[in-house]
Amino acid sequence: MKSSFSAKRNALKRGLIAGSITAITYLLVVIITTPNLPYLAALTAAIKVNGIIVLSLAIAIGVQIYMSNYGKSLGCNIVNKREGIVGSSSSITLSSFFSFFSLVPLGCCGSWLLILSLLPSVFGSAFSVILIQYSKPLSYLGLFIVISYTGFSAIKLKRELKKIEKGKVQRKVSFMT
Amino acid sequence: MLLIIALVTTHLPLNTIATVFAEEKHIVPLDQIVSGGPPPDGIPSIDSPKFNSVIDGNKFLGDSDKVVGININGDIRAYPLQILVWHEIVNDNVGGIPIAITYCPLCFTNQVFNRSVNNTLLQFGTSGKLYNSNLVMYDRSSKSLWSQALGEGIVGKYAGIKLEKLPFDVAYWKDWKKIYPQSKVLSKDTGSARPYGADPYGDYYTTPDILFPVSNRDNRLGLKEIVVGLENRDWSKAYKLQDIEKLKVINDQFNNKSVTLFSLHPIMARLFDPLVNGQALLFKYNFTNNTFTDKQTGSQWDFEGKSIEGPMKGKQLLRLPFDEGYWFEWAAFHPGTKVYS
Repeated sequence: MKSSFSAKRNALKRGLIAGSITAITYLLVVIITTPNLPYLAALTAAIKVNGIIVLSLAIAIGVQIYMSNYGKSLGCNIVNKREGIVGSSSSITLSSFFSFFSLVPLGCCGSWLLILSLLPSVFGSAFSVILIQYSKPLSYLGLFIVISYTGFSAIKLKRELKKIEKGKVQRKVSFMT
Repeated sequence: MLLIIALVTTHLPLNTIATVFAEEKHIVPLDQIVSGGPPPDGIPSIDSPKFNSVIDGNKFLGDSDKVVGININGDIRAYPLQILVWHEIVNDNVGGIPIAITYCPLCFTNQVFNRSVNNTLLQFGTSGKLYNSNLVMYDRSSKSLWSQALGEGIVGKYAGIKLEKLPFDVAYWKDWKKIYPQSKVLSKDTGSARPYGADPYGDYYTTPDILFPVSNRDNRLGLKEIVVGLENRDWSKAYKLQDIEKLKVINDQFNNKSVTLFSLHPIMARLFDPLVNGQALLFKYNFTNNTFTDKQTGSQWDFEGKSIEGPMKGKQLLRLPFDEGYWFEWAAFHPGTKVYS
């Protein structure tokens, strides 16, 4: 019982750290790319414009890391390392990247205007127009994928916990008989 | 760790601008000129503009697309904002005059300047810096910094030198091509691959708030109310574009001088000196034939400021330049400005 509590606590700690790192990294990128604004103004603007994205990403990642670590402590691997990590981190990058597009109005001649102007050399002009016009839905699509991964992990963890619980009951019954 | 290093280095320009230009002549506090992020010319100006006909312009411009229009000595050209938003400056020669068409999307300030200063021809580029959240240009010969909103050199050799402003229009493409079917329109073949047609500022123009601090927040008007501004030394006065559109004509006094504002088409306003033969004319709008009549002689005048009927027929009013932009920008650069009501 005690070890399960400590496993949960450790997993929670890691989840909180991962969630915080996600949010802090996002906000640092905002500060770096808007040198014309005082730190506080840049942070306020980022939270005002993309608060839902930042908070949801941080929570989703935090929960995912918590579940992955808790699952590991129980001896089950609920997050497929290759697919899970690659899928999740590319979705975070996608979601963050598109949400950064909304930061263009933070400064005339700003960093994001420069980055957006380079898109046609990578994606071509026509596709870049689509990416810019639909940046908001695309950022939410990225967020949806991240949350979905977390949801799948939660379902997997629940199943594993049920299996463990079932195993415990069976052992108890066989011991009784 | 890398992010923290990046954080420190990207914010260094805040200090280095003051350090680099410390020895230079300047007319604004150096610590108020801040880096926007990109290096000089990171947002490239258009220096060899190509032009299309109205027919070709229709292929990429919709009726509701906005253009900056100019008519200098009969040379009529339109510069779509969907192109200007990615370049901010066009160095051009129109009607024999070297001009710079400039656009700061954040402040919605459009301005057309004569590039000839003290018989020296200047070419402007984006400096990547901002003053009061407004575009700071630089000239490629002396590297002086120029404020777009002030139309004045702010740091370097040309600090304190004003650029000559030229009258221009901001118009919907639908109206511009109707008024000037012979107009040329800036081509998308600018030499840079940019996603023309997509506006990186999104819904910024239609949301009432701004996301950055301004030096003088004035709540008399909405932050993004578009105003036409007049200034003369210590005097400044703002007119709501909506008022000009609604009234069609405004006869007013500015710094003891008579001025007249006309508007016949949405978002399009023109400023004239109503002085003809030593007499300041007062105008009213004729709903019947979409012209203006002066109250003194009853002559009719068109939107070009030319008398087309009556005793004044053939006379031409002198068209004057003005500033146009969002109220927050005008108030930041002109604290204590008067507002027409």
